[in-house]
Amino acid sequence: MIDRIPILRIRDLLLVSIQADLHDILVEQLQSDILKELERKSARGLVLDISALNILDTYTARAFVHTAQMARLMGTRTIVSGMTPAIAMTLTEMGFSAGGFETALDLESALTALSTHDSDED
Amino acid sequence: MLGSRIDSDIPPKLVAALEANVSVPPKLRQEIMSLSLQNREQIENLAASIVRHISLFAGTENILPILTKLDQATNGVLSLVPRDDKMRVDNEASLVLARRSAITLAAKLGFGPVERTKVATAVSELARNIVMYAKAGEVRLTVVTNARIGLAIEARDNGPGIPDIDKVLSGGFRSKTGLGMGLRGVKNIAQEFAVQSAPGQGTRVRAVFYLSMR
Repeated sequence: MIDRIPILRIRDLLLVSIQADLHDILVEQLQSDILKELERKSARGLVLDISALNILDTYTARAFVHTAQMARLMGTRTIVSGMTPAIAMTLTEMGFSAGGFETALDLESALTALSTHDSDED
Repeated sequence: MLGSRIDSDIPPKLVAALEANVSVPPKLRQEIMSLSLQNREQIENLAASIVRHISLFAGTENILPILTKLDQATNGVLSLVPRDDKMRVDNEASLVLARRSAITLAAKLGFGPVERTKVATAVSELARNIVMYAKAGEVRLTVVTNARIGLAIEARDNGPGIPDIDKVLSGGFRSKTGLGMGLRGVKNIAQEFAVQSAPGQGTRVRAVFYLSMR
């Protein structure tokens, strides 16, 4: 099992592609790594791409909500991209409200959303 | 069990063994012939396709006998016959393994991607509750073959137990860590759900998922 998920910085965006089967310590590590990176240098957006995941349980989904909340407090907008239909159906039927984080169909849409937001502001 | 040696004879042997029992449409034949033995997800998808095909064209009661023949013909390399599983759960790594086992077993029972995700998510929630609250326990995955084919998950521990289980299940109790959310979630996605728990007496949860042939 890997013990860390890399965080890529592309201009003022942070990109995290989650490929590994997530376990709790990995999620906590990722959360603190993201916050440290935001503290080091601010970012306008954070994209968590989960297209490689086929399971997302409520614990991990809640961790994403918390990450998005913390990032927001540090001035960063978070988008979770690439959720599979199977995960979306499972979380919804379980009664998990996905209102806690913004989502996009895929990585490209997430990046488009973050750059559109930028030109709106200008 | 996946053998380390790759045998290119496996796909044709599998097609022949399957053809001896049911007709094999071109699409399924293609799926078998393009099989790569290193790709776990591909093997899982194929296992599910085969089970659904047998079920539709030979009947549910013939699934296990035919899968047994397929395993014999391919020296058990693909391990297509679904088997009960029992795992000790006491840390992060065992939680991940329990999820993986659940996905694999669900695939061998013909569950589609959505159902596989549901089963694995349920295992994840129940196993996590064990690790968080009881430190250690056991997760059993059992093949159900009565009128319908299903997968039963049983999670047992001798931990502190849940004082007011009804309140937890009705949503009247919210833990910081999400015990209630997980249990309620499993109850919502499983077709059968039962929980036994009392303070000092540990917890037993049983959730059953049935194969839908949609």
